[in-house]
Amino acid sequence: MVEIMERNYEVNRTHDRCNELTMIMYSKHGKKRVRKLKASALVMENGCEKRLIRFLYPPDIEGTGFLVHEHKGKDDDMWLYLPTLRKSRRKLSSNKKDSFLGTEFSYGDIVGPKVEEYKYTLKGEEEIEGVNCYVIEAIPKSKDVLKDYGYSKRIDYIRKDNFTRHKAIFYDKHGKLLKTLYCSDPVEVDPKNHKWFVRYREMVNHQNGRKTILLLDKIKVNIGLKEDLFTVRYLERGYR
Amino acid sequence: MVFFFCGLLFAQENEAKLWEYLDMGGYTRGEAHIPISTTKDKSVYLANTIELKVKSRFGKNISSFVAIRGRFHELNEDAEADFDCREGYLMFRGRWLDITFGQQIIPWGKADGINPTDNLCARDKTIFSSEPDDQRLGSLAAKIDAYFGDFTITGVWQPILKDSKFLIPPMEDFQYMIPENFRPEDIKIKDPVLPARNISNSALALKCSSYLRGIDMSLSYFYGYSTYPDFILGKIVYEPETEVEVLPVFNRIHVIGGDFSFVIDPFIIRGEGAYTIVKKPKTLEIRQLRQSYLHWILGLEWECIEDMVVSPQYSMIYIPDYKPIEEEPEHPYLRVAKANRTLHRQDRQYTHIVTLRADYRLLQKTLLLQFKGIFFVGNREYRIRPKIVYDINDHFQVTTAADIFFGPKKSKFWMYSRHFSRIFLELKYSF
Repeated sequence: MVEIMERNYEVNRTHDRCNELTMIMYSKHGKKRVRKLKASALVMENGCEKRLIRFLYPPDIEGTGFLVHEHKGKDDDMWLYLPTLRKSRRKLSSNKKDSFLGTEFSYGDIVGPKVEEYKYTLKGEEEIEGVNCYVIEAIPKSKDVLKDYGYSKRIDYIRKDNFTRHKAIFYDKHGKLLKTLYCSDPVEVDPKNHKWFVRYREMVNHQNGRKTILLLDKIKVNIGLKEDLFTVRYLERGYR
Repeated sequence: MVFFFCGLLFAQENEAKLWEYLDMGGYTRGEAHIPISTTKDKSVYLANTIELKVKSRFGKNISSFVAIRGRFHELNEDAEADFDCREGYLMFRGRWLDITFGQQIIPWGKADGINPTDNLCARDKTIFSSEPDDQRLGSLAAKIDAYFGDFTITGVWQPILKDSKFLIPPMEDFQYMIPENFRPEDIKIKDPVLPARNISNSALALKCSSYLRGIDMSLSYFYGYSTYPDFILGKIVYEPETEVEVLPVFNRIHVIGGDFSFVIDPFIIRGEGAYTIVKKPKTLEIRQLRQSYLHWILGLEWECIEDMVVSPQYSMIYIPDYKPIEEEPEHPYLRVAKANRTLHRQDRQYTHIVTLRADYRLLQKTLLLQFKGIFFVGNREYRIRPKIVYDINDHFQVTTAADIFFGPKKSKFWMYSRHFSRIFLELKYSF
């Protein structure tokens, strides 16, 4: 099971990537809000990632940016750039359970949990809408992981053909059903290294009635992004 | 305009569509300011602000940015219009060097709201807005940022002083400023005379910043004119009319400072401090101007529950060589000096300040409830700024805010409470 989850973790970790995404947020009354952003990432030699996210739309938050430097075994470094402040500010990265920019995805959902943080049990195999999947239960290994991500349990449905996530069910810290993630439209972005991205992700929150759709509009991988793109200076100057 | 046409020519030369090289945006905002002051004047102030921002690229390394703002305001059926080019600069980006030249806003400092190291950026305190950035004024500058690994060295040259504008209450409130036998209407504050435009009057600043594992910090130095003037007594004229001249004067200062921020989960700690040395012209008595002082601030940011962040800070201003002025000075120039100290918060040797900001976001972060407050402990003056901001949709935003001053009689905030406390209602469209 760990091997399946490791393959799932690695399936969309290209050496670098620069994607444009659209987030569509629906309130429980069906009211819609749209966010567009550009997300870049670079995997370093030690396996950790550096990520830069920049908002493109709507106009009042255009230019807002996040920079994250991942570290193994320690808290990540994170900075937020606000155009109205004209400066970047250091932020806390440990609150992975917090909502990502008002969506039903948490920061932890976006970044992806680390494989070693969970215990896995293979529950079997299941076919969902014609897709054969491994069904794997993931339980946090420690109270810190539970506290950081906010999930007491996660059921992953990993596609047998390409190891992308097809569906996931999340349970809150009290063990109650919290969210369901639906994924579709996987695309192979790097056939040589078997790397796949999922174009459509929909997170439905059963407790508050809201949902968020994440669409991958443009995908560029292994384009030779430089490490200095993932610095505070670029977070601040890249906007202008 | 120059940059716009450069972009047009560049695009034509490269046979490309102009809009591939231009990115335009901005906002328009309608505002109503309702006074809640204690004086009789309750006139509602209406305003409309339009800001247009244009970014353009000329190839891989050169870009430009222009921000033009127009404000149309009406008070008591008197309408006025102001335009200013807030920013307009060219930027060259190299691998390890950035050069920016033109009118630009350069804010420094990591603390929240009070920044002792922020000496490059003038502010117009007469602009009332729920957004603090609206008060910032651009100034002509050449800035170089050089990057060496985790370190950045920034050098700034400002050839021309851009002065800040104080919010000055009517003279009737400056009772102790008015010499005996004169009336408030006899006091005339003259327009500031900016220093002559030459090399020796320009400003220089240097900063070394680092963004290391777990901590950000910087050291900075500034030498130039303070953007805020001191007010000194000029001439007293008796004929043809009585006039007591009050002159705004600008002084050279050296500022050595630094700031830092780091994380101790669950807190973010921020601090900033600067020692300002005021260069004294030989013709003035030392108490007529601001004195050299140390100003530092330390605070933290804490997300106490999801989507609620509180940020308390403590700040202190310390004047090592403080020279007191008596309560009711006899000499007219000392009366003006006392008013100057009140405006600059130099009316005591130690000034203790506490600030608090609390933000709570709701409804998928479309609704912001914010409270900001500043409390001058020894003076018992305080200012509160509650604000509610709601994103109606992806373009429209409505804001209700208030700016309320409190203070004992004759204090700065007492004077402000009489004339400047207000409620804002704003509707903003961003494009």
